[in-house]
Amino acid sequence: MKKEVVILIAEDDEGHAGLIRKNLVRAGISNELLHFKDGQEIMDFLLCKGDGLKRQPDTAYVLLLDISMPKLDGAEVLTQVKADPELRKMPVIMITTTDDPREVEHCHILGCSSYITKPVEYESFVNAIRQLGLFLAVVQVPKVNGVH
Amino acid sequence: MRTDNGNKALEDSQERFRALHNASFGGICIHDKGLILDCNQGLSDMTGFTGEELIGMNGLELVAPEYRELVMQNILSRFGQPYDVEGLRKDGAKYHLRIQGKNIPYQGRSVRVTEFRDITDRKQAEEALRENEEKLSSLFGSMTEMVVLHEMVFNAQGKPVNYRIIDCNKAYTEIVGIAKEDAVGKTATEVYQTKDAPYLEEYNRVAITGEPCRFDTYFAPMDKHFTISVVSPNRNRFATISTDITANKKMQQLIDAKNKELEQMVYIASHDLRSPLVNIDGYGRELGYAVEDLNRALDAGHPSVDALKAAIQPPLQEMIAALGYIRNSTIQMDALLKGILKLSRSGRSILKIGPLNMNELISRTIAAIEFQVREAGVDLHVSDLPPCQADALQVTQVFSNLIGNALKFLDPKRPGVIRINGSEKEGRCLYCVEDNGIGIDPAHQQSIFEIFRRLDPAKSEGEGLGLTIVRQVLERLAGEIRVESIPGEGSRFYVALPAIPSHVQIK
Repeated sequence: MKKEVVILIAEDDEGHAGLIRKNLVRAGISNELLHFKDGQEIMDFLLCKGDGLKRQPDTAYVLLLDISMPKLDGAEVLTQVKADPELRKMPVIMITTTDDPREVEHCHILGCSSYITKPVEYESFVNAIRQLGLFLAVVQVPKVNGVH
Repeated sequence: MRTDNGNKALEDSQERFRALHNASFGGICIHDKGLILDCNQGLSDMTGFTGEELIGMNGLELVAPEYRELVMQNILSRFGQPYDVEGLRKDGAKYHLRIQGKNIPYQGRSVRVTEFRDITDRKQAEEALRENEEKLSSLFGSMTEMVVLHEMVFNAQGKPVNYRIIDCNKAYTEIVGIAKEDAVGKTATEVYQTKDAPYLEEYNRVAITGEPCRFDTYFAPMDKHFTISVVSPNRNRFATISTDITANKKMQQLIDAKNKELEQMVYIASHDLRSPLVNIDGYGRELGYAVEDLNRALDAGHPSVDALKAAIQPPLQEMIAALGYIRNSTIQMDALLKGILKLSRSGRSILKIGPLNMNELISRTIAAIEFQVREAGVDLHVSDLPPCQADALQVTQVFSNLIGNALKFLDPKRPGVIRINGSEKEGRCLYCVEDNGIGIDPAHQQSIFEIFRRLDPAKSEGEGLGLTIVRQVLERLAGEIRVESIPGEGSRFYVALPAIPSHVQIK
């Protein structure tokens, strides 16, 4: 049986992670959500390292990735994900406070699927997350091991 | 009568001669070895003697005594070219006089016609011109700008291919490092050792159209930046006035780098400030939703107080959580703003630059944090340090920060060792704070100096300002900082500061 897509949130700001979760739920997304506090944690999960949770081979994932995080930042995580033959098909959506065009460009070059700026203005934030929900509802997410 | 007719003809001829004589602008006399036989009105006007006085007078008396020998020689040698002497008027006044003589037959003998020309005006004009030229040439010579006059060189088809230096000033010979004799007459390609004459197209346009132009350029053969003004004094010629703006350019580059750094800092700071703002606005709205839920729960009409309590519990929990996030975010924003203020204040503090005894300064710095050193159980070695030229308070802050970091990022797996040493070389002092701590990943070795950057906020206290302030302080003190580090082995922070100038004695 096909399992539901699991949404991974890599975000060092607890508050931001909470807002993303709440608004995904309001947008009707009921998928399982996993929260990681920095770039190192999410990479340990994806590469099945360390003592924490580990990625399951028969599950499809979508990664919502903040750029500025301690230890490993979002751009480094994105680079590693796109360089990994198993992980590179996983959709990665950058969610960040940065709207610097150079940084957006950089992430697109690295291969992110989408880029969402966390707007301070809440309506736009809710809209952005709602659209993300729609995107997640229709997107074909390959399982990370590539056997869809 | 024939004789009468002959006399008449002779008289007429003499009349004509005299008329002509008097009509000429200068003075003319006919003389025999100086003795004046005849003269015109002009000579009378010029010398102040009457015609009667002049005729029969020794013409040499019309010349200043020191020139008489020369004039006599020229008369005897029948010299025919004009030459300049000093004339002497009847009233004793001297004037610039040009004379030219010619031997002619006159009433059966060979006499000399001499023309006198008063050249005072011309002499004065020449003098004025010479003074003017001197002024210009001294200006030309003393200008710090390089001034060079060139003429275009064309090929057989009339196409400009090169240009030749006609004249240049001292600044040019000094800056280019070529003697004037070697430069004048040389073409551009010879002087600059280039394949093509530099800026040929631009210069040719000016030389042809006469329209001046001005441009800034980097001239690679000399590794210098110039502003060049080009003007054309006449067709096919042009003059260049070049100002060396290399120092300005370097300063501009420094300012640009500083601006970029500042821009980066503002960007990071505004980004970091935005993060809590997202929470404040977001949880503000969440509070609104929770209030709506709360109202709905209160309006629902619950059978008991316990049921009501149970119904309002979830929105209340939401509200408590939201308030917590809002409160934390304002604290976070306040800390960030205080950090920016601190950096700004540090950047504006007044510096007292003087010789610093670094051995004393470092022991005082260590004494102030002795408790932390003892508590961390580290082995702290300080070598003999050379004195430097800086501000005591600021340098103390730099080293207290670096030693503090070394203590903060020790590796719990091994006993901590911190070494401080220094050396002096070519007017710079280089100090090193070395630890055997956790080290820094190469990817982060530059970003550690960025404002609010903390590599692992969970593991250590701090506002992410220390190294930013260290770098700022060192820039103000004409110093530098760089880091060498191997993750898992330790870090070395190198601080460079100006050494004490050799004429200053340390107290």
